[in-house]
Amino acid sequence: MRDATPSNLTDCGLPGIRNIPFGVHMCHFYRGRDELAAVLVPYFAAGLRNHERCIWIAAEPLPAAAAKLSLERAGIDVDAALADGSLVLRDFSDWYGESTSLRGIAVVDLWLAEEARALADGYAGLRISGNVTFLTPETWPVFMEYEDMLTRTFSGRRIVTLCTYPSDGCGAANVLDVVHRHSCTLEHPDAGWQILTRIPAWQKESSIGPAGQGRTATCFAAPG
Amino acid sequence: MRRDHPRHASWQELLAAPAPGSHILQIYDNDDFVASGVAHFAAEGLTRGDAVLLTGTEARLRAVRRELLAKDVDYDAAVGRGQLSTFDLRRTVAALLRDDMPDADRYQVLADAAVDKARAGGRFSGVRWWGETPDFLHRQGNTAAALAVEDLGSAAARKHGAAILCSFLCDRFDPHGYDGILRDMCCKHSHVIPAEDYVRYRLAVNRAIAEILGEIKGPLLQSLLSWKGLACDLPSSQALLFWVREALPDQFHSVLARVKAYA
Repeated sequence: MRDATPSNLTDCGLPGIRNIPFGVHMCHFYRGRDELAAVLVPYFAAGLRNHERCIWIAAEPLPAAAAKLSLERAGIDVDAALADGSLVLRDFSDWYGESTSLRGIAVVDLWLAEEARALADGYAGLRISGNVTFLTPETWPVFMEYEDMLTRTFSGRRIVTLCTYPSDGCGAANVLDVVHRHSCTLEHPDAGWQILTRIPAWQKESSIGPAGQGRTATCFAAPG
Repeated sequence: MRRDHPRHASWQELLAAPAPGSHILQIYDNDDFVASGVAHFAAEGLTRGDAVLLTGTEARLRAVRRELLAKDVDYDAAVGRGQLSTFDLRRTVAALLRDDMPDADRYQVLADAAVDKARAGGRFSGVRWWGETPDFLHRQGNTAAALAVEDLGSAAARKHGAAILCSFLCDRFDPHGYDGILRDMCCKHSHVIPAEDYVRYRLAVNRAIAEILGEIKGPLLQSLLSWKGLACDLPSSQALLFWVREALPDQFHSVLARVKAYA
């Protein structure tokens, strides 16, 4: 008899990383538009293949129009995906109204509502990415609280999240803040990708997916 | 860093609403920062209905009083209703030490009595206690006693659900401290306030690390992620310096010198 329980794992889309668990909240530091497209295009292509609702909140240096072109170059029928609702592609400034941009709880609730809507519409889950280019030293601590909240709230949910940060805007202290507020960090050290994680006490070790190019990544089970 | 210590964004936020049982270290290099930090801790406590205990030198208590008055706190009224109590540091130390080391039994008797009196039969919702006893002992050359008092302070904070704040004079740019007193003191506390201006300190650390180590990626990122950190809530700027000391000792002195230049 076939198990009707949906898998807790899904394809990340990046070479070298097999599967990631739903509930994961990942981060990645990129340099420039090409590196950003190199991670987000395969990430969303996999989401569309897996029948997940994909929400790409774009920002410079890869705004929504450029992101659409990048997906099309990868052979994705973006117009069809946008039309049937499997893909939502918006610029950051359009997605977050001024009033909710940094109110953590409100934004988390918004994501949970999106998850519920996606599942009600028959999708396997929700796949999100946001490009974090809009912070100042003053707003940074508040946004880090929001990131913390996402990691805790998304744990165990049918949501996969990837937050991208420009490396030229992140000093070492910012990097430390970010990696400690995400389940794991995606790195692209060579031809393949790898997942780095510090395994907080509330996560358990398991054997999901090796790193690419023979490098050993520490992998993890779904939080919670 | 351990996740069970919630991270704080600013010392003002931390001292406004410290969790019961927390034991906070304020590292200072100027007296004004002590007075303003302690006054903030005390004023917020008084506003929130906590009992506030202050153990310091006469000069320090006077400075804190001035700061509280500048914040429009009715100091004398708070003392009068038993919500604010002060203790002389030298008398406290004399009562505490036996053979130059703190006596655990004496400490417990003193702490229990002070907290019981401060609670005033439940009139005040919580207890906040600031002190500079370890700072005084360390400056007297008795570092072992200073660290032992911190252990007793942690136990008292847990036992009474009190929030304890310790001010400690320390040069965070002295490389020896990262293997000695600075590290030891951080590890004795639940939260650490390493600098008065968090944003400035962060920018200085970021700039120094960028210049000496370059971008945090590849092996550096792996090292940072696998670093166990200190078992306290420490702002990332200060945590990074401990990481550099452990993971990249050859570059530590250069990084710290640049941070000092930029901070």
